Amino acid sequence: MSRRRHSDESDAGSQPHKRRRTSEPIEIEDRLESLICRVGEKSTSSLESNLEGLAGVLEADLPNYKSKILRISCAVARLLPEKLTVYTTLVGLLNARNYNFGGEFVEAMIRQLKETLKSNLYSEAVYLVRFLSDLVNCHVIAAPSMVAMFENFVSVTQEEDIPQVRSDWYVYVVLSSLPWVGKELYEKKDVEMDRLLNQIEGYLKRRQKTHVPMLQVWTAEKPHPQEEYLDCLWAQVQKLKKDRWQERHILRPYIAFDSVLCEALQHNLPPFTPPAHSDDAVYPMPHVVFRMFDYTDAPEGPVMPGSHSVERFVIEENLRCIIKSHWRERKTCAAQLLSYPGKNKIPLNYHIVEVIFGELFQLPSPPHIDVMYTALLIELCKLQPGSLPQVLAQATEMMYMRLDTMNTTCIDRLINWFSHHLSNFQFRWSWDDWADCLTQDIEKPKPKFVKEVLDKCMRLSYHQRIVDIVPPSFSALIPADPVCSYKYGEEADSSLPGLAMATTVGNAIKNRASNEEILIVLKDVPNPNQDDDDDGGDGFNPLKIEVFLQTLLHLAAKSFSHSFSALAKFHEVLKTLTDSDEGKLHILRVLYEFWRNHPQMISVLVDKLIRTQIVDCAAVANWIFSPEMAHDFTRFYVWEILHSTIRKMNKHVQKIQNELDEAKVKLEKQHNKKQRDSGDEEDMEKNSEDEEGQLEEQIERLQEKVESAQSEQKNLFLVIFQRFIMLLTEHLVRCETSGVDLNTTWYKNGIERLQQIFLMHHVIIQQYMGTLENLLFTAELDHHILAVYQQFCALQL
Amino acid sequence: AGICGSVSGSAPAPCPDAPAAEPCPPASAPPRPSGGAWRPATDTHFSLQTQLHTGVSFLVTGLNNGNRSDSYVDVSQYRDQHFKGNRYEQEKLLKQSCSLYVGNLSFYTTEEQVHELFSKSGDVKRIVIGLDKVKKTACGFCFVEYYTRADAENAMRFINGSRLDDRIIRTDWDAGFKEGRQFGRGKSGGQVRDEYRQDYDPARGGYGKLVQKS
Repeated sequence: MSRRRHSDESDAGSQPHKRRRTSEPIEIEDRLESLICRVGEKSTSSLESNLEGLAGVLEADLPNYKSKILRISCAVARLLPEKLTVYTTLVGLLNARNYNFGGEFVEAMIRQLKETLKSNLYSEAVYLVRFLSDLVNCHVIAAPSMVAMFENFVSVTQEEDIPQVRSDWYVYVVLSSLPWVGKELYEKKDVEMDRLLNQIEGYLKRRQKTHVPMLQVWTAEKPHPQEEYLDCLWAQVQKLKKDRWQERHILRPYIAFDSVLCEALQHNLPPFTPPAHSDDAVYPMPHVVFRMFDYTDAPEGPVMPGSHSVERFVIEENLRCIIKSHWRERKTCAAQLLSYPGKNKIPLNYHIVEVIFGELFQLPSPPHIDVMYTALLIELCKLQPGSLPQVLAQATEMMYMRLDTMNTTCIDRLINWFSHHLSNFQFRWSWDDWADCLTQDIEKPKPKFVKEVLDKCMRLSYHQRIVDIVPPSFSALIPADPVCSYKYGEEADSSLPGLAMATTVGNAIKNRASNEEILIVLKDVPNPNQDDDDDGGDGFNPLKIEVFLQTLLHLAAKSFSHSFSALAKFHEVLKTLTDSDEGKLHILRVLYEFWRNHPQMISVLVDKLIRTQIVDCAAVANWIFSPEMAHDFTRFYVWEILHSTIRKMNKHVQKIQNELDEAKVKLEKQHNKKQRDSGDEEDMEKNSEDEEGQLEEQIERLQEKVESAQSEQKNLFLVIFQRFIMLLTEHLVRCETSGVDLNTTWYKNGIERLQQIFLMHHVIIQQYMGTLENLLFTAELDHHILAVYQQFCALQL
Repeated sequence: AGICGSVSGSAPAPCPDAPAAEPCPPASAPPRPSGGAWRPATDTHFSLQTQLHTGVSFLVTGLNNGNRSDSYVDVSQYRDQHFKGNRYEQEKLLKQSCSLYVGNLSFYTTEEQVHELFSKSGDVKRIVIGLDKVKKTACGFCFVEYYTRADAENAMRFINGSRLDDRIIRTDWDAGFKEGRQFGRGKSGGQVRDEYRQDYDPARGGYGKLVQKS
């Protein structure tokens, strides 16, 4: 079998233009792309000789393939930032050989920069600006014009009525380029640079930092302060300046070519005005720098650069870039991380583990899907079996020790990561090392963490496995055997209301009764809420729900599929029984009572009940905050259910919105078609009018649907926030009146769960800020609760 | 001849590496991204290729779109022989599918375990546990269907090749569940691979069926 490219493999899969027969130019273009992309990879020759050779090849190709080479070069600047200096050197060499190319490249880059800023691609814009600034080192761009661009960026801090995140970004992009180009700019324009830095310092002093507590992984300042990102970067730049801009970590291939490059003519950057602020601009959110290691943690080998050293910044940036480039291919990603250039001078494993956990715990959300990090860490362990697992174990131990001050959302992610990781290594862990948690109250962070981890481990295996893997002393933390609790079973008290009916219903179901037949059977169930026996038979009857649902769930308890089938089969009965809000609440209560030892089953069944519209999202929210659930209020699974519910609501709104948008696009096409076709036969005109009419009707309907869905969505958030406020205020008032410290374990969990709602759904919630502020988060609110709201607002201010 | 186990109305040509007339499940690890078909360097233009010998090879394809290599999501060589339809239809379905085949499960792995693991890449719509055609018990495979393609792709990237019940499981794109596909196609009722394998696997009924009979 010939080895063919994936895209060529099957006829149906490939696109026509990729088929190659004898079209040479396209072959050459692909080869150029490949040559450029691969330069800097492991090679038998030195990087310098590869760059020299490639520059020669490209120079020869410029007459015929200039636009392609320009396009590829711009693309690698934007998409392969971890190889920044390799490509700036290449551009430098080309510019030295062909001045016009250098000029056109700079112009193309500026165009690209404008595009990325317009499209809210701010991280790519950072890479482009950094690229341009490194081109100063390669004698492609004149230093004064780069300083001028930086001055224009920093002047954004003088703009009025802009969100802080806008000026933040422009300051960030300048500061984050200085490790690469600070030395050169200071040599050429020290007065201007000093002025620039003073301006930045002034800005940093006056900017708001309300958002910081919401974004910190740990609330404690020891052992490592969790710094706001701009503050940390400023400290790093200050230190770099003090060291006279001597930066030794960045790989700079252009140094070897200095004699060639300094002969090159430089270009001036055209004056660049930052695009004005617009309402649909979405600037990057601020973040807090994640630190978990310092030089004392890596016992042997190279020393870890300090937290305010610019090396630390550069290493973290580069590792993050590698992950950003290769996250889809975990083996490649791991290999690329481990072959980081300059790895022999730093404790690379520690940096990698710190960056990975930094991303995993990033608030509001990680840059990539959580499970990627689990998979990546496993690949890293496979590639470095003698060293990385130990670092990972050390990290885990450290995080366990610091659970008391760790943000609840981050603990959630840690639980998921750790349990999933263990399931790939036969659940081997030195549990005895954590015996200290056994003496603590079970609600405290450490025993709670272990308990939740074991819960998740059980879900990935089975109950007996968990019993086997932990020491007997840990038995109090082992999850309950996930068996159901049928109240109408053999041990039931004979006087239990509904007992006989349960047997009748059970038999009816086993005899394949239809929905109507079941409803008839259930008619005989008395309603404990009603004293008189007036008809009211169709009103909310909690006993009917209990008898039916308990019996049904019991018959279907064998597996998820059995239960799903049962719910589907008797959808009609369930719909009828839960017609009211009370009905919906009660069905959730019954479900919980029946499956209280099997949280996973509760989650999947709640999911199904929502998807089949037997309960609505608000009912689930009310149920979670109900007194009956107070006992499980701090358990992880409850919040997984709530967030899953909110996500379903959001996806539902999004889906209808998409349908509406599609219909609008269709209508527009109809209009255009009509204009083109006008003058055609009457028949065609009439048909298109009919179609238009139909579309307009459809759009009207969809518009209503969207509005109704959005109203439901807003209501859901109102319910949730309202319940939080009630619950937390109650606690705060109680503590105040009895003079007790309000910072209980329960309160920490509660207030951080409130924070979590904001963080996990910030995009949607931002739409409803007005309502929230007017109705709920008013000045009368306890300042502890209001602070959470204010921190949230500060994220995009 | 070409792809192993190709589909068509007529009997497929025997695949040289596999037992006669049966589809051959591919090896467990996803294929390394290929470097493409290089023509031999004939002019100075391309002599650079011989210098740029890459150790860790990856191809960043289609930079124009900003696309990245994403080989874990590629369709494998396996094609369901019983697929009702022609090759084009099958390819199209595979490329759009939100359903995955999951293989090398222990016979004791439950739907609950599969649900927990595969929920890590997104909301699971449905799981169908593979059954022995005769015994109607789990026989070591299942189908997992997601609501969106993107979630299924993440499963291919991060769950394929990882462990469930201590076993390395394998996922592959599936054209979509149809009634009947939940049954093993081996002569004894289980999966084909359990008919012929020589090793002893306690989680998959012990020895292969052929060995058991001898």
